[in-house]
Amino acid sequence: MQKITSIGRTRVGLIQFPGSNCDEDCVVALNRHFGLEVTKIWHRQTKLPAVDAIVIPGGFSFGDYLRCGGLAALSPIMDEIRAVAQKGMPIIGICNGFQILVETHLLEGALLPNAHGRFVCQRQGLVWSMKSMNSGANTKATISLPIAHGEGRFHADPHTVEKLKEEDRVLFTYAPNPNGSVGDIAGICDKSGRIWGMMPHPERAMEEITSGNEDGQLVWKAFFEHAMGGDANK
Amino acid sequence: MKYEVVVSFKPEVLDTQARAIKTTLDRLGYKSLSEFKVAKRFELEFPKGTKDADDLVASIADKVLANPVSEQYRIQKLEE
Repeated sequence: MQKITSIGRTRVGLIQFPGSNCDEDCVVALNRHFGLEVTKIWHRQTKLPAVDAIVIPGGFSFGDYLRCGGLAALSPIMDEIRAVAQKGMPIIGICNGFQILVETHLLEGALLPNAHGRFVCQRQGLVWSMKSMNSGANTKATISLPIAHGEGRFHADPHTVEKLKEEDRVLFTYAPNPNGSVGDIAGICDKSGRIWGMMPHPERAMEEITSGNEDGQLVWKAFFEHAMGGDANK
Repeated sequence: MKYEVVVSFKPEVLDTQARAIKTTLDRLGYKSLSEFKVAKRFELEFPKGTKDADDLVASIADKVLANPVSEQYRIQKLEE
């Protein structure tokens, strides 16, 4: 596998909520592996510093009280996130970050307790499908990333699921399905392709020695390249 | 003025908590139990005479207490 050393000089803003716990993993993944500057942003802040992309990390924001991501979606910084999302800033939400993005309605659906009722913490096979923003070419790959969640069952009405598929917005599907998600959906993006939400953890698959593979690097690189409109090295 | 808001999953959404409790109830011998549902109950109180209390409760239920994608809610006024 090709070693990735650089995805440009993207300035990344990482949102921290009380209960975020994958924040430091994301900082290390982006800073150590890609040399990106990551600014941590507390959820109570009302203004974003100068950044080019946003990461909403995993964890259990607000202890999952009310609903997973439900209270975080109403934090002050989320008004700003909605505003920059409209302007096309790339945003990725991982695990609890995905739950927060659906609660914010920047992405469709809901993430509900796993159908079997158990927390799953395992390596997970995934099919990754993406349509290039530049060439329109479809790429499909089989990868493996860690998952760790009790509430990852993607739910949406049949019409929404159909729409996500038709618009090539299902980025990741589980193989096999670990939580009862409709359509095996593990990750989606918005219509613009710039807002990504996924339950699997790319930040936990950065080094062979700790994660058995480096598939997480591929996901980060694709996110920055794809979401930045193919101009990661600006 | 007192209200209660009761939030539950939409009927078509699998409620794993209700299923787990029902399984245990079945095991304990409550065999005639045909349906079992779980809901979250919220109690909201406003000073007497708050003019737009009905609207406020509806807004809170809609924007915060329930997620319209997967949940439904009902509001009941408990005290004038």
